[in-house]
Amino acid sequence: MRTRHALLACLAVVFALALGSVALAGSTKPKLVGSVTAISGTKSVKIRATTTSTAVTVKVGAKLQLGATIVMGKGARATLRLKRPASVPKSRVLVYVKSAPGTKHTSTLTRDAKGILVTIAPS
Amino acid sequence: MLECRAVHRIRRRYVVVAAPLALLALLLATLPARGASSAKTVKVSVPASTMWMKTSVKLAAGESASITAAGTISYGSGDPKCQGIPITADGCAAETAAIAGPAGALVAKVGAGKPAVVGRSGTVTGPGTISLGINDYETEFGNNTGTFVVTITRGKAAKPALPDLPPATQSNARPVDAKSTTTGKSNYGGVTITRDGRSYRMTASSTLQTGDVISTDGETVLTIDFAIGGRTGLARNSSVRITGDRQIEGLRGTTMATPPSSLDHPLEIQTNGGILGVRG
Repeated sequence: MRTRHALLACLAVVFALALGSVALAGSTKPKLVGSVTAISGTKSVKIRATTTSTAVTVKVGAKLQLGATIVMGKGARATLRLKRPASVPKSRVLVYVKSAPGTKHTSTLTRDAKGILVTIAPS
Repeated sequence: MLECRAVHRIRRRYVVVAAPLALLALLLATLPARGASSAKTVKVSVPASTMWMKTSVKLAAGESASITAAGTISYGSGDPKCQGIPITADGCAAETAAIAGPAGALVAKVGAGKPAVVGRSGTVTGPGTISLGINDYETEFGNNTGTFVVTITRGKAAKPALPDLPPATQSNARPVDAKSTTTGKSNYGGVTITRDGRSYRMTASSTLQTGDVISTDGETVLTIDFAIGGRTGLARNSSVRITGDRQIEGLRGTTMATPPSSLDHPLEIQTNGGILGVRG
């Protein structure tokens, strides 16, 4: 009987720890690395916050999460303003830029006092 | 009635436990079968009475295969140290035979190549078909008994050696580091440069020019610096073309770009067949 109680107590502790870790993981705030400052051809610029999330249409002023992917459609232009947070290592990719199938875009990267300016235009 | 219910309960329990066990057993049973059906590994029996036995394994030039042998034989030795004992594929070191090495050992030759002692484990290199045999004198095979069970595993096909990249006429970029993602060590051999339709091997001192296509293999990541500033990284299985002194075109895979510190020289990257990652 005592062994059974001990086993149940152990299981309860393990369950509580697992719940705690899941809650902690869920509460992690996504890191913001910048925003979209200009767009033309709004409907054809989409963003995927993470590799697994679905692509949604981007609006001017949209915040960019660390590791987000911008998918550029036909004829679309966009300007992004990025700044690496101090907690993010230099080797980490802030955002990804991808051209939709059959399209070509040129990204121009410049750095100034405010951070990085990425201008994406059709090529 | 009660008895019947109890029997049902026991049967249900048995099904609940037995079904997953049966599934697991089925899965385990299929695993060795999958390995055996692989064309990469071939198992053959080499009787001690055979001088040379041709296998079905034909190696391409530069391709290697590892050979492991199990089992024991007897070769009618004249040396008391080797008589009456089971001889492994390493042979009996106290006695030599036709091929330099211990008598009774497993020997191999590839194509018309020189035969050599393989022993219980060894490697052979192509080109040609692998033949296996026993190290004994040509007229002495009649009194040999036993069999070696030999496993031949094909190795990786050797890459054709590429020439080193010649110096660029106008250097736009140079490599910083090429690293293997499996070993973490420098691996310039995993980077191929195509210039004017010819393929070259990248070295640490290579210089890149406009028009060069840089490709990484499945285990190498590359970092290149532009002469005017700015850094670009290539992920595994990626290709880029240098299109100017500060422009590149992503052809395949993922290209990572770090903009230069000076605003006078922005970095331009065209994405038409790949993904661009912006680093801070």
